[in-house]
Amino acid sequence: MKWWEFLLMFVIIIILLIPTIIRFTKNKGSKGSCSCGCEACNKDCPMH
Amino acid sequence: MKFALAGNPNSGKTTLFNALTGATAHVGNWPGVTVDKREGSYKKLGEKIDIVDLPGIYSLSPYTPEEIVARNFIVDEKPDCVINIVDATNLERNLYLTTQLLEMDVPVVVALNMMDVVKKSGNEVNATELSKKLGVPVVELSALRNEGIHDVMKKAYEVAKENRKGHSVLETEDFYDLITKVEEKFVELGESSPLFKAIKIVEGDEALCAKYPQLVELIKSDKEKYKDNDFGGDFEGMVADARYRYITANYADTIKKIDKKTESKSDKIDKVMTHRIFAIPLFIVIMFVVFHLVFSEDLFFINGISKGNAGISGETAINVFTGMGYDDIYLEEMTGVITEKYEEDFGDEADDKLNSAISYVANKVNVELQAKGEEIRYDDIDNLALEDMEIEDLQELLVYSGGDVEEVNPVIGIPSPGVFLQSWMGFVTGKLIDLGAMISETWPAWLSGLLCDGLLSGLDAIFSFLPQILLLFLFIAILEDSGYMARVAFIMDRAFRGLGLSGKAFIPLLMGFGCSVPAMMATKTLEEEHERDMTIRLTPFFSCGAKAPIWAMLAVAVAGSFLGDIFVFSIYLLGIVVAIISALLIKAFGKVKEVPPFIMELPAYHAPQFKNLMAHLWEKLKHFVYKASTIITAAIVLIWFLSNFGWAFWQGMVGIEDSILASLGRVLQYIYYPLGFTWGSEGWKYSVATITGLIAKEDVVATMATLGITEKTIALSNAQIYAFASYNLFTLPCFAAIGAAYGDSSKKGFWITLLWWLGCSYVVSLIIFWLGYLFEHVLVVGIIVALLLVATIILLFVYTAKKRKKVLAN
Amino acid sequence: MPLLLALENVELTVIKISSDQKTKQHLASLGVIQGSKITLLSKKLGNIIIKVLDGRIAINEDLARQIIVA
Repeated sequence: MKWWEFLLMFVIIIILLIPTIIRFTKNKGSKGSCSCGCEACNKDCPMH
Repeated sequence: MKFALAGNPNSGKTTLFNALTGATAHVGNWPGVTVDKREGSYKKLGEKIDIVDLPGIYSLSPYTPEEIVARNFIVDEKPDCVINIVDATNLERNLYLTTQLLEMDVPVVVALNMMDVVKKSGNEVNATELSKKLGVPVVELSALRNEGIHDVMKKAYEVAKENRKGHSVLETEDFYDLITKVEEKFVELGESSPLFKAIKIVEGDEALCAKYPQLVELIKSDKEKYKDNDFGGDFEGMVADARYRYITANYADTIKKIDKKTESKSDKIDKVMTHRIFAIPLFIVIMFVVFHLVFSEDLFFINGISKGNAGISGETAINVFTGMGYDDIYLEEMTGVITEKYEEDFGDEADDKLNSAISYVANKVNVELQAKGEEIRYDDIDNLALEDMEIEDLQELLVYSGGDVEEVNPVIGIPSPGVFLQSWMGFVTGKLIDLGAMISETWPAWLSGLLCDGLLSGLDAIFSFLPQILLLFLFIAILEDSGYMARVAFIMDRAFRGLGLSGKAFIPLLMGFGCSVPAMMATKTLEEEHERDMTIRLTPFFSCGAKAPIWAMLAVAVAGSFLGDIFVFSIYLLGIVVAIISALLIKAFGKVKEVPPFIMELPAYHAPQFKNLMAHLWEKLKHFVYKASTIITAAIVLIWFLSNFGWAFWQGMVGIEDSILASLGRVLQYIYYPLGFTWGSEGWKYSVATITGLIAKEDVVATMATLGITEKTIALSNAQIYAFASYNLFTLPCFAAIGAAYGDSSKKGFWITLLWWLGCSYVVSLIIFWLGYLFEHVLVVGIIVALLLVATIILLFVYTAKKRKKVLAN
Repeated sequence: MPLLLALENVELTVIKISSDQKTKQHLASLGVIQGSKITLLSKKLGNIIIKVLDGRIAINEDLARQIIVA
């Protein structure tokens, strides 16, 4: 592989990783009770 | 403006909250307490109104964090209006909370929910009368049908501008003078909601009494007068009694009931669902039916039972039901027929005869092709197997062997809805992969590798199981929404209380079937810390949704399509059984403690609302796509890179066996050797896949796909498959779940939990693999060992029950 | 007599609850307090379901022993 192919590959990899990076920086900022960032925590907490 | 929603659990509060806030809802944290805080906004009144959903509560005592959070919010944060959701089908009990809310200085609107159910049963509730009696507006509502929602908000908006002062139904009681005495003091101190606080002081409310001991002193001698009454001077009891007396005396005017039967439809259903003997078997059957509808390739076992006579045949039919897989099934059938024929005709010599027949046909085909000027079809005839041959050549072989091609008419069982959806999804993803391969034909290896072999095939692998997972979630949501799950908790409590386990702990565990993270958080409702710790420890054993692709994939690989759903069902069952055994073992090492009493409301059964179910599914789908586009993609990219480059990565791509990942994987492989699933040259891939499960459990399947293992190419024996499944079930869950466990467990409990996950997974998988191995090789020994295991477990149950009985009786 | 020994499908009056304060208040908020009327729907040993006001509550056996009714 030539050097510019490596460069291009890493660029593509970074692009693919952007959503993941955003997800983790967003999590550090807002202290939600759901650490997994899932809005599936809308379910009623069973309370009795 | 800020409105708060307050009401009993099961009163429809959540449905109303969702209807009001829609997509604006988000979950946060109540400071200082560990209860979820749900907030959103309502925009249909011009001005944006914040809606805070207070936790579901039955009263405002200081005993549970939910109640404390609710009352502090109203008293300290002073919302502009409190909307009290009252379940009209359970009016009297709901009003108990209402009388308490009315004592606070805040505008209140009573939203009378489930009016549609009341009307349907022929009963009546006079909202105007009720409003007169309570002194606040009462609006009729049916949250499920979206009726009256805007009216409630409009009314709330109106009264929010008033400066409502608290008012109590206890006015007519003879001890009311004590309340007035304390109230005056609170007014002097300039406190908010003085009436409410005064009543709490008189009741002996721990929280407030600690804060204002001087006020407790003030009325101490006055209280002496009541020391010998019916309640033994228990003011909390006296107040509660007064409230109910008021409600009973006054609500008689507001409701007309024609239904004087004691037993309702729900009660009749419960006679069966909570039947002393049949309840648990019934639960198991229900769960099995769910798995059958999602994972079975032979619906209702029709094909298996009727030996192929009731199945689907014909190219079009099979293509429709299996997602264009007729050729694959035909090939399977054809090779089966040929092999059987040779066994029959030649017995011991079958292999030799078959091989020479294969050589004959292959050579013939090659010659014919060459004569036409085309390339030969079969290169390595000596190693040629039936499965590698073209269908038309196989047909020729069959004819050559004296067989009848018409005989080969593949028939399949009727696929279950889950499998039907999955095969179509598989068809679509398969076409995408083909498309990708076509487009990238001219691309450099690294690019096509990254995007096609890595990303595309990895994502396709998990997306192809999405329909099945959604269907599974749908069924679980139906069971929950209908009210059945409350009964399950009750049944489990009854069955396992003698062993030290409470049914209340089962609710978070059952939530674990969806996702371990909210399940672990739900353990906050358990009172004892040791119970919370233990429940969190067992949560991942209740197989979460992210692990489902693993089971779905292995289900296909397990020998015999007949067994797919049984396999998945057995995995879930295994999880539950090991969880129970774990609980017993954990308890055996600690002191025998009393299990707190089980008190649970059983809401009336009702058909789940379509809208609610779709909302659940949509949430799950969104979450899945979110996960896929972030951490799963990241993991795939990482794995692809590590499996295609050697340590000297600047030298370019290398074959998979020489990659960084392979060398790391081969070391890991040894750790898992005793568990059986990392044997062989491909073994390291399974250990790597398991490790990637830490990022997200879906990654196990995605990683395997990136490394070249799909449900069709898996080459493990059943024992190995089972051990692999078991290991992934019990080992450390994904980082998100580990984080949730850390957040909700005690320090000591957390580390024990981690060790438990690692230890349990290893031991159980060890047992399963070697037991399976014995079954496959020396059946009798296998059976004996299995029986010994079962006996040991039974003894454990008996010992625990006896020990508890003895200790508690003293 | 304790609830556990009462007849099914008959309206009963709660006379006394001999549990700790927290449990008593929990029961109270669900409608079960001294003087209230409840009906035992089911009590096949261990399976106690009671009807109080218009709701159904499930409780464990031991608790049913602590609720005295007539």
